[in-house]
Amino acid sequence: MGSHYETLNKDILDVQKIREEFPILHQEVNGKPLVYFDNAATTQKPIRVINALTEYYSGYNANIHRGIHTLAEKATSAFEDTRKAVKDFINAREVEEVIFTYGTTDGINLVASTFGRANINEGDEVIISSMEHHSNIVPWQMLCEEKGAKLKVIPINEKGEIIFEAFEKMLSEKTKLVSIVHVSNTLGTINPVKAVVDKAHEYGAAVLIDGAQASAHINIDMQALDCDFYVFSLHKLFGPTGSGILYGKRSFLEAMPPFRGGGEMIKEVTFEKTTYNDIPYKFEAGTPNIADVVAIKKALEFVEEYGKDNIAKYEDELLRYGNEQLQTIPGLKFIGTAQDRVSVISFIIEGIHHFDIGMMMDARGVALRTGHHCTQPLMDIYNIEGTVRASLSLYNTFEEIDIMVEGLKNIVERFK
Amino acid sequence: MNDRLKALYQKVIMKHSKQPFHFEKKIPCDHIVVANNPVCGDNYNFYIDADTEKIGKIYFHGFGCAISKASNSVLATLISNQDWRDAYQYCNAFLAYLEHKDGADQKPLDPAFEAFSAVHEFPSRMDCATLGWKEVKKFVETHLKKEDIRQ
Repeated sequence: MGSHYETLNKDILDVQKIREEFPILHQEVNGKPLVYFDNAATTQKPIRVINALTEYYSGYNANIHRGIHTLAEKATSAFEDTRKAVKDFINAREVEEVIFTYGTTDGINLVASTFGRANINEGDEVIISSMEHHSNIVPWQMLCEEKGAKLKVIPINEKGEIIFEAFEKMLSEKTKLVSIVHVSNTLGTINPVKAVVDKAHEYGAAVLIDGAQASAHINIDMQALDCDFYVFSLHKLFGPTGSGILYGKRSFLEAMPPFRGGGEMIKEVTFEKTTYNDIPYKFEAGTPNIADVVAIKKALEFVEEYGKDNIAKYEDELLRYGNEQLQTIPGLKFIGTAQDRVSVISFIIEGIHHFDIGMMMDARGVALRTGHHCTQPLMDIYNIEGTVRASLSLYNTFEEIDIMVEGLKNIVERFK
Repeated sequence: MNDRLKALYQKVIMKHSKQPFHFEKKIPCDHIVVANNPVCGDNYNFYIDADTEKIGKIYFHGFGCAISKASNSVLATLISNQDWRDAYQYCNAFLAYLEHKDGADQKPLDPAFEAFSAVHEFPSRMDCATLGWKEVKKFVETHLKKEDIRQ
């Protein structure tokens, strides 16, 4: 049945051609063809990204920025080329506004430790939403505890959408920062971040957007969004693990104290005093993750080659088909039914624990994520212990959805 | 389903998980022992009546996977009405059986343990099978320590 849709959607994306670029997809797991539906945890890597890593290590591995020999210059220029590519990819105003981090969590901790410590004081307030990943809760809890500030949480409705009116009421001159997820990793909800940014700015609050789940699915445009910080991980965007981006407005980054001390982030060091480097280097202490950063450029090229609009269109079709087919499973309940969503489907099946489902689906070669997805407070709101999550990407097919649905139907039968 | 998984989700486990023994919120009771694993979401209460000599009937209730529910069902049937030292021995023997400690997997104390023999092959599921046993063992241990001090 799914193959029919495959043909219909071929003019949006040639998925078979895309799949050829992903060696990992062409294998059997537990004797069945792999169906990889855990893209919200990490996406697979196209061969061009894998090759870029090999080429770097076998051709021009060298430490960057201070070397004057040929390999160092080549490595430096490849590293800085990626910074330019990221700047274009997110439509930042300036290349210096792009900081390399180790991932989304690292980026949020950077902002909490620098901007947060310098600007959030006793009695101030930080606002997050109910659907945050632990990585956008814990750093702010730690900061608020340290400073005697208050952490406020925007409530959500049954569908998994933030209640905007409640957010508006929370804002005051005490609000120093709003930190909100662009796309929920558990529910798939796309939050109205532009409206959040505009409203928060009316009160003079800074805004950080956690774009970990958004970057692979929807266009992210820093100038249009006007947020003050945007963080995301490249491993969820077809790039290597251990690499991420912090975008920050120049005025913010320049005013912030450094994060980690060490090489690269300095201009001059004496035993008496250190003068810090300019942005972006002020926030990139130590030898960075050079090989992975170099390979990121290829991941961005991959996405741009197919186009975010086409990717979003295709994934919307996958989401629609997935929802339709899953609805036919007795006892299945969707968790997160927001109007505006990416291709993440979370669900529970009455009477069957998510662990059992995950394990039985793995036996069928289907990789699903089960559990609380690092959003325990959100699970408490829905009064559940966890969900099964299928997160779909551009290389997934309608036939793979059929395989998942058939597998789930069998499991339901077995537990009857 | 492949053979490895069939061994894990074998008939006895599926039967216990669908119709667990002593699955009831038995309140009032003398003691409630909580077995909670926030990582996977297994969350059970054991409702235990006991006097100084022995444990009475154990009931349990809560939410969890098939393996944990079946394991707790076996626990509730085996430990009920045991004296404290026998209960402790059962808990130890079950945990040793699953962990293959000192060849314990070769000679189960009770034939009911055998349904869980495949769990050892799935390290990620060990917690599911052992969570309740570990918590009940702690409860029994605390009682025995108090008894020892008293004597």
